Amino acid sequence: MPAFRLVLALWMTLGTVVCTTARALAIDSSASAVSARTATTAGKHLRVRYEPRPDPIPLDEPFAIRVYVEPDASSSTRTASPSGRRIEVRGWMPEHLHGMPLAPLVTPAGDGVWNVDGMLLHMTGHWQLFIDVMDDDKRDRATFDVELR
Amino acid sequence: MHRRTAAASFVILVLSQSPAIGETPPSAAFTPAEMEKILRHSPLPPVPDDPSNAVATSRRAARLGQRLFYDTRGSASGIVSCATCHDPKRDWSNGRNVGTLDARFPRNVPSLWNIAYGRWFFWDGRADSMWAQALGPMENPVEMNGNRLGYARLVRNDRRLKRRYERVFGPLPDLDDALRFPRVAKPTPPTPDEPANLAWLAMTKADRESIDRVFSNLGKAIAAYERALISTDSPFDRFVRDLRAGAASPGGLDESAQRGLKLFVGKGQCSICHSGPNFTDREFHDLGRPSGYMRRDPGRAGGYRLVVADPFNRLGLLSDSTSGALVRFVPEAGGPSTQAIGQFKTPTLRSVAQTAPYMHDGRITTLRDVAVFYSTLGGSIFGHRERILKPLQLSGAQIDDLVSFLNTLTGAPIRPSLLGPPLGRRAATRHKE
Repeated sequence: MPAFRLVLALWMTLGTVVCTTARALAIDSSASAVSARTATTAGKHLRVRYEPRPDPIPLDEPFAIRVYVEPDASSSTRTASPSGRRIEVRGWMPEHLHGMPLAPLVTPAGDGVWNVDGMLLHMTGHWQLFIDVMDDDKRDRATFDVELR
Repeated sequence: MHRRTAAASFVILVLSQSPAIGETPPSAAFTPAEMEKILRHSPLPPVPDDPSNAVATSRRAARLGQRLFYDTRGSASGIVSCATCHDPKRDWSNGRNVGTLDARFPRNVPSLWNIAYGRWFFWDGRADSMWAQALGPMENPVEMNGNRLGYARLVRNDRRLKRRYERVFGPLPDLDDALRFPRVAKPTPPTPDEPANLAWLAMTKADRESIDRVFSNLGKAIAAYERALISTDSPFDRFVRDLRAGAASPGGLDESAQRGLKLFVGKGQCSICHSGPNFTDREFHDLGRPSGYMRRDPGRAGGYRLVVADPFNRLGLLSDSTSGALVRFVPEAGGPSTQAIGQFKTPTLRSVAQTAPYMHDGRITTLRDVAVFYSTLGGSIFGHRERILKPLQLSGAQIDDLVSFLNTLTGAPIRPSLLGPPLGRRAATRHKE
């Protein structure tokens, strides 16, 4: 009889743990679902990738991204990164017709890599991240979709 | 046999908690998507840290700040304190449309409930910390109209205040030399010829810095007190607690309020801006409200300029840490600063039923009228109204439901000892008796 009680207690404890975990998983709503973090620019010559920190992108909390720019593998134009290359990053909500409330700061990290601080997606919904790569006067844009739930 | 019984008990236990897994919401009134949104609004998390204020969590600083909050002596008239407008009997507002019509841009007095969860302060976000916010009205000519020399001297000359200040912040500067420390002095850049400004500029840089240090410390003490002004444990919080516990009939919200909640997270789209446990995204939006006063208020566009120029911002010398200072990302002319024209901060909705009138200009008298505004979006547009704002075309019954829900956001009473100046030790003992 005591053995039965012990088994019962163990099962109940296990059951509670499973239920609590399942509930936590059901309630926890990770803030972002990102469709893709690598895109080819509109000019088809560059491939742009970003990594958010923290990951996933938090709702209404500042975050940073690291941006990697390299020639697109399918492009016939294979040039090394020009030394004067710059990037600009912007967030935009097409359904709201407004962007982020902050202006991110871009810091070059060398070798086609940039750190971008001061990103803030403050609302749920569909965001577009525009990463513009600028070589002299030429601007080429990579567009990323971010759904924040 | 025993094993089978034990296994069966496990299955029963799992089934009994099935609503928690998220497949079947406890209340059939809400879809899983609505449930997910509802649960994000409660509970209110602990008050966030403020690295810019080293005494934010000091009890001594909070008691000093509480004393200062109700002290009228620093104002030019001697009868105005923070509590004059942020009246604890009126849920930290003043029940009037605007603070004063004398202001360049007359605005409603925002309640201080849950101010510690904010990212930007004032309707236009021109301060980036609670302590910097507290300093604004103390010198504002249409509010307390005090001056920082006067505040420093007030603390220096009041034996008890001085002792309390020095316990928290260390020694006050010696202000006895009237040539070095004039009676009235403060910077007033918009009116450079004002005697107070000239007196301020005549002081040495070192003396100005030491006075600024004292002044900022007073703001930090007031901010430490204001962190305790928390609206939580509302009927809505009890409802969500019951939902999480899988209660068949969650308490706190009657049927009308539940329908209002469904509108809030659904058709009404209120929770897009009034998001999270404090019912605000802490940022700025343009509702396209018609301008009610003589001037068109630039809102956030003006706040951007002011917060960058504020010597008390979180990047300034008087900030105890620059960690997390978002002011470094405030946009310059163009881009987001252009879209910011006419934007105002999303206010918290916690205890909103107690803080009428509403909107940044205080021109809507009741919550019902607020719901009617969102239902019709009447009036001319100034700025860039949020594109997603469409007239909700709510029925009268739906408006009633929405208001019923908003009425459930009123928090539990806070400690009575916070609702006035702190009692001295003897008075507190008498009070207990």
